[in-house]
Amino acid sequence: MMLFIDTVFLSLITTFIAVLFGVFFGVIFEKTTLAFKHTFLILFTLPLLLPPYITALSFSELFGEWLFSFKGVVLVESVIYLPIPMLVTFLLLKNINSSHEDSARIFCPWICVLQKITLPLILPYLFLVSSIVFILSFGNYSVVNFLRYNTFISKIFVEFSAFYEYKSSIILSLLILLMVFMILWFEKNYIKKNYATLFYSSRFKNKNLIELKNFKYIIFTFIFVLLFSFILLPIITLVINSASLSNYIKAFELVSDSIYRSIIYSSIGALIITLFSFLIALIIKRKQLHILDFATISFFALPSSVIAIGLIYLFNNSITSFIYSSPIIIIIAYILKYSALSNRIFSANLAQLPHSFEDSAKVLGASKIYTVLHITAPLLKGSFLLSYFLSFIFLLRDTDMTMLLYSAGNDTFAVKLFTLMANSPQEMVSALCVMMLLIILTPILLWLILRKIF
Amino acid sequence: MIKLKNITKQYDSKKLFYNFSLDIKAGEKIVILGVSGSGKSTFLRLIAGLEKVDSGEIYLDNKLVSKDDSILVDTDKRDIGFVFQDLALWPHFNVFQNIEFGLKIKKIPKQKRVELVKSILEKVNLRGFENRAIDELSGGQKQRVALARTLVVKPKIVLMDEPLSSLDKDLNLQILDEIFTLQKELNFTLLYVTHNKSEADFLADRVVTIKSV
Repeated sequence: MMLFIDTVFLSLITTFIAVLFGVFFGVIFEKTTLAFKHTFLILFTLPLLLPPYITALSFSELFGEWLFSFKGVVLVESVIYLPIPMLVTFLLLKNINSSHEDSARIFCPWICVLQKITLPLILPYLFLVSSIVFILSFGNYSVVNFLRYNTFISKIFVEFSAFYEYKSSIILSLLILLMVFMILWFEKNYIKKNYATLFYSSRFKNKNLIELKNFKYIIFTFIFVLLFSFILLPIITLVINSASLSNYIKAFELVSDSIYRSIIYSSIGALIITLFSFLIALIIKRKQLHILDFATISFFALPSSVIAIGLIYLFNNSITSFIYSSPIIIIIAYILKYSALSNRIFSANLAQLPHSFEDSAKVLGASKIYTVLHITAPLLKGSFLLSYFLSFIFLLRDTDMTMLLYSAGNDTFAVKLFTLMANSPQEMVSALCVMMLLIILTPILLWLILRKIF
Repeated sequence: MIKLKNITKQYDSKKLFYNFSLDIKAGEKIVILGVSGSGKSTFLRLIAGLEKVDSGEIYLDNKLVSKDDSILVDTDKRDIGFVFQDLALWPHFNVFQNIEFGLKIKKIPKQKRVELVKSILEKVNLRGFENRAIDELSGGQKQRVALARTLVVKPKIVLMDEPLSSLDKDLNLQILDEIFTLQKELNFTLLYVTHNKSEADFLADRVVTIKSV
């Protein structure tokens, strides 16, 4: 029980710090004229896209033994989850109906508009984001494992690995399902009601930015110092520690098979997730089957180790052992865990498509499938791209689930790196981390290029 | 009262105003007519200081407020009121709180605020609606709340951006009549944007027609 309370406390502190800084950055990067704000946004997002233990490792090389403590875990997890509130705040403010702010600007300056209108308007969304950060922090295993800090999740992992004990997993799953249910209830009753009036309806969206005037140097310096200390310096340390080119060649020879498998699994998984999520979003919109939304969000919220344990129980028998002993179980886990992200992308964009687009095709005699293939899907090509690349990155970085599910000879790069960290020379581990960073950055760059082409 | 001198404003390659000048006297009712996309709303936003001009000068009460890509006097210091096309009533506030907002910013004491809000609600025929949530109001009632929120702080200039475009014809005429009466009573300078010629004929001392350059 004490361990459970301690883990809740750890996650609450992490959530508070991540949301506080995330919202501040989101406001600054969207609403002000700060120089290089979009570069800052991308760089601060990096820790979310990397396997969490890489951030933990790079921080440990910088902060030493101090990091292996409650404070250290809070610091690492705050940096990892800060991009979630930051990106959500950024997107909310980008799409908010600017008339709400303009009509307040008639009465008072920007700081008062932000304080009394903008932030209170997006407050319910920030509550949702805080809940998501809390759940993710609570369910994180690889960071606490690397930093040798005991949490409720690490207990579940150890109990299952050593004794095949799964009672704690069931209790935790029920608690998390209850939380997901509460989040979705809150979303349905307090958020969707005002969505249309809050967003998108203004013709003068996002034209007015706050001039920082005398504060621009102070804010720039503050943000740059944080960026340098918690993002750039750890990466630079990794690059310096990785020493030489020959080191990279050796490292590549060691993990080339795992990299190949990672790319294959992630490509297949991302493709299935994208198509599956599109279908789910269509079904939710047309049939109002919100149970599907509940299901995808629940799987996203459940700790990875709990999903993996469930799948092992499901497939570890004589009939389905071919799934259990092959990469198929990993792909199934990926689909369960990560479909919520893509589903939300498609749902949000489907909601913005006027009904008349599909209705006019119907009037002209097009069948439902023809309409989906020739009208709806092409209009959502941006969502398909975003969904594919986002899923690809999340699958590439997955460690907690894959670690429990892979069979001999089927490990991924993230898992291989995690296992090598324990018993390989530091320069080799650093080189592998830099390689992982480059592999993660490649699809991001590809997405940025393809987004412009399409 | 309002003076625009050689205003130029363009978006991307589209020129909305080129060397545009206009003088408006205090208490005058000006209706801005024009087709969609001609820059009617932008015209109001430039006067409000919500957008910068590319070049030219804007004076309010003989004071230079905007000049060549610079806002010299911020929106909240211009003593204006603005009714937006989508009304922009804040959904997290009720009717009273929406109207009270401007008075609160001006640090008017609570008791006086209550008096002023009640008085303006009476003027717009919404007595007893103080505690209603915004989403409980009809289109016409929302319109009146937006009007009350703008007028309660007694601005010298009121800008209205197609405020009646979403209402049916009867309600449209009724509220137009109320605006006409309130303007007469409070004597503010009114700039009213519309694409409806009959609204212009009813309300205007002077009509300005904007055409794309």
